[in-house]
Amino acid sequence: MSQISADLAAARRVPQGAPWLWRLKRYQAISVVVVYGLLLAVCLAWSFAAPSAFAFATTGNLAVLSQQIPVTAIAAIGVGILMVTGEFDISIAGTFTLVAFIVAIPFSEAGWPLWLSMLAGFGTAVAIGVLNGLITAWLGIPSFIATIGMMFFLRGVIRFVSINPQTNLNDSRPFFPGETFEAVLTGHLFGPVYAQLVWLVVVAVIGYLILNRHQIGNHMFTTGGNRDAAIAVGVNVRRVKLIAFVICAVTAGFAGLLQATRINQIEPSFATVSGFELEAIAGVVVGGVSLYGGRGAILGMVLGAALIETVDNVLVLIGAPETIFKGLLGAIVIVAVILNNIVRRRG
Amino acid sequence: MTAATTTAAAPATTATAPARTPLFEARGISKAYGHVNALMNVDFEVRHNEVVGLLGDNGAGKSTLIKILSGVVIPDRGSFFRNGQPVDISSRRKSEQAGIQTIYQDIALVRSMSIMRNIYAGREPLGPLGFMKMGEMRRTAVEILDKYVRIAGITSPDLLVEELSGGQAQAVAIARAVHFKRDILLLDEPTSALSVRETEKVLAIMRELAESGVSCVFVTHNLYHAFRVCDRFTIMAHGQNVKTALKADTSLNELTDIIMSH
Repeated sequence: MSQISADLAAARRVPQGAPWLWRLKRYQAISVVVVYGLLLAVCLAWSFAAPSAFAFATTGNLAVLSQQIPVTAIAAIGVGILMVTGEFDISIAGTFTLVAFIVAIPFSEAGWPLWLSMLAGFGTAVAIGVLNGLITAWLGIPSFIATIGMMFFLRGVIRFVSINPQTNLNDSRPFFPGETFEAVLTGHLFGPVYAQLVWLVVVAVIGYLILNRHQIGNHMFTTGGNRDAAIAVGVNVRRVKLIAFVICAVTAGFAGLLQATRINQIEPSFATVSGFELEAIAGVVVGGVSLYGGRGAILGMVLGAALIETVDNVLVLIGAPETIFKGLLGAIVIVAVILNNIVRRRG
Repeated sequence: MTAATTTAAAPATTATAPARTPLFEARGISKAYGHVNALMNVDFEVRHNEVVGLLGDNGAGKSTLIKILSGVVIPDRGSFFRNGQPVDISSRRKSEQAGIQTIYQDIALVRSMSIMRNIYAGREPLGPLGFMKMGEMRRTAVEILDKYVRIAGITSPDLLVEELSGGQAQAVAIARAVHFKRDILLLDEPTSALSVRETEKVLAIMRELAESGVSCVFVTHNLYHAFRVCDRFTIMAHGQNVKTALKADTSLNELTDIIMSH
């Protein structure tokens, strides 16, 4: 061994010990795994200690969580994958709502077969993603601005499609796609577990494979981590971003369809007053995805969204006013962003 | 610009004639930005198994020449030859196909990604449906690190680049270039931000690479570093090649005097 090699060997950075422990400590989503684990532990302990005051660990409440968390988490996976490339999508609440409308209206009112209505709905999601991608990646408009524009545009479209011809006012639409469809998308499986949880696992596995095992995932991390380096090694950063925008829009649309199927109606207010997009982005940030691109793990995105929904659930259980949730959500995001920035600076 | 249309002007001082056809030659390279002549009829060559220092003060034209050799900037005039045959380096990809790879000062690596993912970024070995062959990537990454740069401090290809020192990151960038069959490395100020120990490592890597068949162009302001590691020097001033000399035919003082006098 040369002197240089010997010097460097002495300065080696990898600690000795179990490789799995070393990997675990360096896992990008380890913070949210620990925080969410602690939150669950506290909630369960509190619930078992005082079940009448805090009914967290009841089948009914866990069933609510197992239906709500997947909707936000599936959208968060799309948002997170996009953020890995260094971009944002503020328009997902619009996509979430519009896709459900586009599926429901032809199916319920024009007699289209469900598969054709779904094709139209997801075609709309793809079109929204492509448009966001083209405006951002080809025209060079910052995605924050471009997707705010798209958000308002989609709100306008939703106002238009949600007009009730009888009252001439914006109104919710019923959505009854049939028992089989409802059972597959949102059916009860056992105990507190509903089909949405299975769909979350499916989307998370697909997201993991895309991000960590597929070439496009490597290109997403490269694009978000160092755009110039990505271009230098021949990555088509525009194409990568466009694909990420499409994935984001499709997951938002799927989440919207899950929600509409569960409650058998579509509310135009999903796109305007729900703050769904902020919850998904907040979950992703809490889950350790970098605001600057290049970092992120699917498990972090899922647990970040789960943490947001669980906090909401806890506040409801303890009877806190709804306004507290928004304030707390803001505080969580600010803390997460500060931590995110610290990690970046250390990097 | 065509590959072989130029009038080559002799450099101010010509080194001893090489025994073999140079690995790479640039002849009569000129480049102007508006009224500013960044390069004027510059000749430059890289020989087999050598480290050649590209020296000169700020504004001498070194960066423009490196950008041209990298395929980033297209010259107004000039031609290029690899092993005596005309080559086209009018784009980054064509330059790489001609065996040239630039290792920039700020290192074109993604700091938040692992060494393995960096090595294969843009060149992933793929299996069915575009999925990466992770096992092959891992095995080869370990071999690359061991074979080309022997960086004992890097014990895992899973380390993030941001966890590496500056020298180690340079070494990873070099290893990546060498693995993908580049045999001419353009190293733009590779030691400027490094500690003494890291500098020693990068200088040693350059020597090892030259001896193993990968020629290096060492662009630097630091004449001491250049004189320690280079076999030959090309000094530029005001967009011209003002001297080319073998190490045996010059001295550190002479190189310093030439740069200072321009």
